[in-house]
Amino acid sequence: MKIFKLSILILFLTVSVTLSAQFKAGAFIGLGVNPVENPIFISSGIYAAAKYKFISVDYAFNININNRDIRAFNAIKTSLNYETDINNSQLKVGILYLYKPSTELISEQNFAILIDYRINKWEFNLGNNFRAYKFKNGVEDIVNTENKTIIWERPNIMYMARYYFINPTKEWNFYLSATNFDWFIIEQETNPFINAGAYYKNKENGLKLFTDFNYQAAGFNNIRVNYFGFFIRMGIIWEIE
Amino acid sequence: MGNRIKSLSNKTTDTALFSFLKQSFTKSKLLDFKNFKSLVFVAFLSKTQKHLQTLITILFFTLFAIIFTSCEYDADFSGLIRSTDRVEKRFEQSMQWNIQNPYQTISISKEDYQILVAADSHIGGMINFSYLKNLWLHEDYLALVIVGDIVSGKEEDYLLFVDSIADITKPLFPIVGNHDLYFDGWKYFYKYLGSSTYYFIVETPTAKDIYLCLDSGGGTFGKSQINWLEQFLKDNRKDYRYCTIFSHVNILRTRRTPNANPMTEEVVYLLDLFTKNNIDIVITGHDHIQDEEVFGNTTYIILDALKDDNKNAGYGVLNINKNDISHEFVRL
Repeated sequence: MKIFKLSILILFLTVSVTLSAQFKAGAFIGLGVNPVENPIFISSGIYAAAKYKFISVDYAFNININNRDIRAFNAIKTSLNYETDINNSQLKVGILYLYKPSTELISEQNFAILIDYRINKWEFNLGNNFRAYKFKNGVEDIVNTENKTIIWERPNIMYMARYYFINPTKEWNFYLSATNFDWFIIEQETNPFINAGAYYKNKENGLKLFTDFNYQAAGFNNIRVNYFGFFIRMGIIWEIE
Repeated sequence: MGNRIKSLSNKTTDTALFSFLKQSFTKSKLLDFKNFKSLVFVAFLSKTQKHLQTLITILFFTLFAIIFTSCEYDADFSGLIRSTDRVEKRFEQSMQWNIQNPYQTISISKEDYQILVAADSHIGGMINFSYLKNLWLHEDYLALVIVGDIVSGKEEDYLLFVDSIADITKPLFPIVGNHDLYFDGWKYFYKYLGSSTYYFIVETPTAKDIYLCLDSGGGTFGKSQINWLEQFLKDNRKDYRYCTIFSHVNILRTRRTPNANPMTEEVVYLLDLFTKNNIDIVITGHDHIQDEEVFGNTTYIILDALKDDNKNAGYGVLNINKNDISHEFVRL
């Protein structure tokens, strides 16, 4: 419930700021397969962002469509960014928070610092996240709370290298990325995955249609790759100048 | 180019070099040098830019391969692109093997017992493993469990290991690790050691303890094995006093390491499953340096690597009695 209230507050602040700012709003659906989702996961969510001068805020909220008895609410992500240009190339520095009530007993929290740099047809992300696995409140009957109930993993590097096949100023584009994070997933630095995507952006009405396909393989760093899963997301974002 | 070298050869070394560099510099339109050193540096860069790019690319990939290799040598880099085995296939074969070779129950007449546990022996080298083998043989340990990376994956190393234990009748429980899978190693593991997903039971006069051995050699437990584990624990956990899980790949990453553990989705799912089912201890290797974390109901242990030349080489001992299950790390 706290998270829900926090989400509403962030959304309210986002909307308030947008009275004199650029605003984005969107919705998306996702589908994925991996060994721990039975048989697949189907989710949907909303996205909102606002930009005022050099500062931007964004927010995304993800809910499950199936398996709602296990987990109805999937993830919430918000970030605060400072954007600037260096030699006509966009540089964005931001902080990010991702919360996932992953299972019945355990939630995952991530704090991150992320730099995004776009130059010509390339986009690079580099950052660091701090992840904690924590037992949820009200699980004292199942969990021995005399022991540790929160575990912090050591800082984890986030990275992405993306290549756009068409000049990013065009309406259409296709891209291919190697990364270890996505909107609602931050994998360990040793578990990269491949992302391929496309978008169409209508400059007249500001509507952008997008789709992403992500292929995950486990054991890359153990030099024993094994198929792990994939997930797809598609959605629409409306950009209001 | 010939004329250029000829004209340069008529000059003194310095002036010839200067002239050559100046030409290079002019070409690269970088004439705002302040001194000879900056000229040399910039000219060198402009002349060698393409080669440098190639060199940096090669260096980057070499460095990447070295850093991101889980162990220092004996690596089969074909596994970066594809693996000759799959966790689903290995699980299927392990289950077939289990039908032919039923799960073991070790019955003992006392309440207290000890189990030796080791990881990452990486045979070839036999010095540390021979030491452990002597302990296993001559001291009062009920069994030896090796949680993966027993050998390098090569058949000759499997044979070395199998020959060294051929005359021992005490129970041995091996689990596959990523190194055991290199060089098409699963077929040898299966041939000489058998299943990599199974359990064994220790029965004392008053209680039964269960030990689950799981295959995470490919960095994931895989859907079938996870479903099997979940169902097994649901149906059987209540029948046993202590439940211990052995596997190769460490679950948690509480310190910096180049070694990969399962994907976060799988990690959080396993943490939940182990907590719900009161798993007492999860023992893994892979990371080569001992570690211990207690999270909720479960203790997560990483063992020191047993391999020769490891300055922290060691093993572990599980101590089980009526009131408690505990562990100790022992360094050689």
